[in-house]
Amino acid sequence: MLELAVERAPERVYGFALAQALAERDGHTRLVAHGTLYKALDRMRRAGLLTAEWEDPGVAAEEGRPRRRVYQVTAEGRRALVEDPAPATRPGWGPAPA
Amino acid sequence: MTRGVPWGARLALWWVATYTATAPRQEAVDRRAEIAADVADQLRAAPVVARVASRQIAGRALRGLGSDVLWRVSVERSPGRARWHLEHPATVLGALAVLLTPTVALGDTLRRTSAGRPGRALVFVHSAEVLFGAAILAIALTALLRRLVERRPDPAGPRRASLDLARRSIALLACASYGAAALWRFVPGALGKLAAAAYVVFGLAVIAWIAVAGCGWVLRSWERRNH
Repeated sequence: MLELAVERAPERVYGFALAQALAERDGHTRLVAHGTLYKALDRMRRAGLLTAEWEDPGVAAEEGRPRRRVYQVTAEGRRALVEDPAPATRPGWGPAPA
Repeated sequence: MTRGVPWGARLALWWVATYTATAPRQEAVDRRAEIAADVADQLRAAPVVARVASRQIAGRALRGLGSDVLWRVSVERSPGRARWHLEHPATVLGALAVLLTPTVALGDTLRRTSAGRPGRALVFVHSAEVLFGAAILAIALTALLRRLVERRPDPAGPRRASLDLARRSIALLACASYGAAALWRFVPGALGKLAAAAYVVFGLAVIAWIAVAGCGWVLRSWERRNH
């Protein structure tokens, strides 16, 4: 998940886009469950690997949708990905990448 | 939840509102808003067939139930939560009662099949029964004592406040009596009789809770219509 967020940098990612990207990467037709996705994001945010902020309400209102919470990988997150890519990239709901 | 929202989206929004209902305020607000945004994004990204998207959203909500519960438990580690739960014991008591119900059912089944020779499984299940039952009684008693010592006026207005207080007190009584019944139901003598009486009290408390909650719902609907 962290890897996908880094790939999209400097663009900030949000939950649904991440779910879509994960399904695409792993060749799944089903999107990851809400509970699994947001629990993992919350855990990474608390660990300092990601920062989260709510997008500008004006942008959301212009597009006629609720505000998204956007995430950005921190320097610590990038370092974790370089030092030990396996646990950082493992999404937590599937087998670890070979 | 509004009309016109697909059932899958309504299910996901209802579930997030339910498991965050008594969570720390900021975490609850963030999680609800995040799921609402995700659901809206998925509906917008769906092709013409919204029914399929609705089913997919429901599937995402259902597959994540376990993680949601684990997340909910993890946010309880924030400071001040133990005190909050003693002031509002319904969440913990409800969760313990939910855990106790299948434990009791499993214990009864094992006792029927063990034919007087309790196995390791029964010892484990019985320990869980004792643990959950004792925890329910301890929390209910502590909450009751706190409520008696720290009486505060309720901002919801006198009528609503008395109904809410009655509902909460009945829930407390139901959980405590259920815990006592589970804890002592096989103990001979006075404690066994107490357990039998507690089970009757539990049944009556459930009926009373439904009646009071129904009155509260009618009153809230009436207030909404008149304001």
